[in-house]
Amino acid sequence: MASRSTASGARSQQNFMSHRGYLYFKIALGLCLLAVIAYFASDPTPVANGGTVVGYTLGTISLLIIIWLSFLGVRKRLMTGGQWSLRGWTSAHVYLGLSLIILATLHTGFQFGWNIHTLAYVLMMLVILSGAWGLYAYLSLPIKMAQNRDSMTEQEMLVELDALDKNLRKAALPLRKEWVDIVEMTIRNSKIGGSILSRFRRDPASCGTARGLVAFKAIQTSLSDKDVDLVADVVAILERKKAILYRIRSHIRYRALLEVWLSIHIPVTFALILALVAHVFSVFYYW
Amino acid sequence: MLFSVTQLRLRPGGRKSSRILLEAANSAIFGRSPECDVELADLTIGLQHLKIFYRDDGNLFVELLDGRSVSLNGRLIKDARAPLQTGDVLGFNDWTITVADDPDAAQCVLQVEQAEQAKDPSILTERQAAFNTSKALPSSRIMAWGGAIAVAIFCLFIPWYVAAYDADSVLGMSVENADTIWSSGDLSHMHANLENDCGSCHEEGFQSVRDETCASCHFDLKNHASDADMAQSQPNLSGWDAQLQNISDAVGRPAGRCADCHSEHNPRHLVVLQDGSICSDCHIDLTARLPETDLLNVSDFALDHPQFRPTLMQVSGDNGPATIRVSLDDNPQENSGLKYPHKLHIDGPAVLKQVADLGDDYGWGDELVCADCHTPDAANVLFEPVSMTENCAMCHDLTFEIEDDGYRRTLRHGEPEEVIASMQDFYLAKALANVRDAASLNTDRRRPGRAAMNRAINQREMAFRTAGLRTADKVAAIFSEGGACYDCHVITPPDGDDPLAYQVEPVMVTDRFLPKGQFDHASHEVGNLDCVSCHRADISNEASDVLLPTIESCQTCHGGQHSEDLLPSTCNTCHDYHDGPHGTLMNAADNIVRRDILLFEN
Repeated sequence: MASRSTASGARSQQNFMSHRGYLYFKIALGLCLLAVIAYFASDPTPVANGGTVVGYTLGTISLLIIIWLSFLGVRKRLMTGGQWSLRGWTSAHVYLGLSLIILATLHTGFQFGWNIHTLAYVLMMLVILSGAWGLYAYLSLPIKMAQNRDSMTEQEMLVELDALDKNLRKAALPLRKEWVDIVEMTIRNSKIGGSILSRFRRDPASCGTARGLVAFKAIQTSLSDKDVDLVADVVAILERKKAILYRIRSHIRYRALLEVWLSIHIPVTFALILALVAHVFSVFYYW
Repeated sequence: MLFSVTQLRLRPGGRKSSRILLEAANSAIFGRSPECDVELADLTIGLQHLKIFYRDDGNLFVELLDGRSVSLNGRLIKDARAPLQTGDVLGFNDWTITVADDPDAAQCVLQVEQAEQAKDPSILTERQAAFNTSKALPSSRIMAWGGAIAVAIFCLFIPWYVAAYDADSVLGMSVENADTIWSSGDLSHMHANLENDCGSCHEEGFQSVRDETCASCHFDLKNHASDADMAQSQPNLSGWDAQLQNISDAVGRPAGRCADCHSEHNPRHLVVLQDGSICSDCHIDLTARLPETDLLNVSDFALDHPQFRPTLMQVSGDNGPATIRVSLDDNPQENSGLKYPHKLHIDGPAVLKQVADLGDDYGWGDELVCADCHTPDAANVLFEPVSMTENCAMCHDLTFEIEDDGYRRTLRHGEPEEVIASMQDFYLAKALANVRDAASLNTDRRRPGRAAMNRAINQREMAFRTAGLRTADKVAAIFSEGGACYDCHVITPPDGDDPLAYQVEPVMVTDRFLPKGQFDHASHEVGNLDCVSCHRADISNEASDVLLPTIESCQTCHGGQHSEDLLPSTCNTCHDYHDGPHGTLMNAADNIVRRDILLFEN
């Protein structure tokens, strides 16, 4: 399977999700089914919890899976191939990670509280959910990004923006002071990037270009013949700049959507591992 | 006079190039407007910023138009115009205009230069950073290590320090009870006072809670059976179960620990395990492993529970009556030493007449009902013992003689010897009184002498003998059929010379037929259930009848543990693990280091 997918290359629709004929999906599904059967077939005393035979077993399996999953960060920095390709690892990472939703939840026996044990569970769910978001982003956003970029590179977008600014300044040279002020305002206030929240807005109301455009369109309604063409030039450039800004901001937004989950996934994983150490230590310390 | 205008530009490598903008002019307007003589492409300056011209007298002047903040040799020009000389430098915004001599042209040259726009590297990186999401987020590395360290300190190190050293503070920070973050759930209400004191039960790290720790407070709790019997009764595990038990044993969790049945940190009501399997583990085939037991095998109330076997008293003894357990299926007979036909007291004609006569005095209805004699105890669970004076004496009169003045002489209940003695005394006193009365009524003078004395002695002897016979008759009457004692008690008549040696059989009324079970009468006051629904007193003619309901009667409402159509009932519904004659003290009292019970101090 692995050789076929590499041989057929781009023609194959296989990605890490369908690696080796969904092998890891089947393994994860099998694990979950076994866990559910064990959970409901057992008769725990006095009630299902992490300290029964099934509870300890599910906890041990979940812990081993979490430790293995966390080594993806190490594994992806090593160049190897073949049977244990990175794609295979990623495939297993995704499916085994998702299986923890079932395994670890059954391990809790649905007992939750304000304690280290539930903290570990909540951290684990945060890691899984952020990872699930990352999975969705990886599978769905690159196509949208490509459509948005329309073959432009990030550098080209910046150059275009720069060129438009230069043109804008040039076109504004014959304009009177208060209009020049508006042009300067559009250049000054058309920020891209910025804080994490502003990266999710592709059409912010505070954008100087949009505001300048509105202002100039208002000015256009009462112009002397001498200024008509001058202002029309400026408006045309602002329109183009507005379009490229929308594209750039969309790109930034997609990148944020694609990358922000990792800023939860990785740091919370570290906290999770320490919480699991505390969880296991405390359980056996106060046995 | 004329001047020319050139613009200096900095080329890569530091060389400056010069470009002529205007030649042979005597006046030039500088500004960003295309209409200016010298067009300066900079939005920061005025459309027509300033004008430089030769006055008629040949002096060069600068005149400010739109321009503001124009400096001459570093000093701001305050007037509208100012004279210029060779070497002067005009400055505004990024621009400088230097008045220089051109050695070749022999005319003045104005050198216009825009200050080099320093390429700010931060602007470039800022632009590129716009695409890089991570630039807008705190460093993942710092967040990762920060979070991990915070969890390690607050969830692992501090709780461990508090647990291991019973500490209240770390580095001056109060961390009292910080280890409660390790608690996996609430404690039951009974142990709520220990909620913040993990060490009260978890005495040693990495060691399961030990029975001795439980017993330090619960020191007077009975164990279920002797340790030897308990050990012998354990099921013979095999396969997977045996392996599990081996592991449990190896890690210090042997079978039969308190915590096997009393599990804390779970839903509060589960602190006493209700599951029947913990009993049936041993009791399902107990007789096979513990042959000498008098218990029968049991595993489920509906499917596998023997018929009730009430404990009945047989004969009295010095150490209490000997008892025997007889199944209700085997027609058990109670030997109470009493005659009490329940049916007679419910619908017997004599009783009904008596009830009609006395009912108003004692608050009875048309007939006697159970509650007229059987009073619930204070807990409303069982019943007060029936008492002769409280429940019988109003009808069962112990009067044995009525004096002439109507005074009723009655017998003392419960003391047969005293009864016989008082009757002897009474009739003897009566006989002697008759002798005395006869002497005082005889008014004839009597001759003194031996004959008179003998006659008096004879009269007293006669009286004694008469009194003795009368007493024997009367005692025989009350102890024989129709007599006050005989009606209710089993009497053994004299078998020797003494005609008064009647014996009343000891009364042994059972107050609890099923001591191994608990039965709460109050909680069974439901629906149209009444006493005779379970206790068929209405058809019982013998006091020896055991008026208990059979297990089938209970099973009309109570099902097994997993019953779906009846009330699910576990062993604990009726039985108590720690109660009963099979129990021994959990631990000998002198082996116990009593813990200060903080229940009332906290």
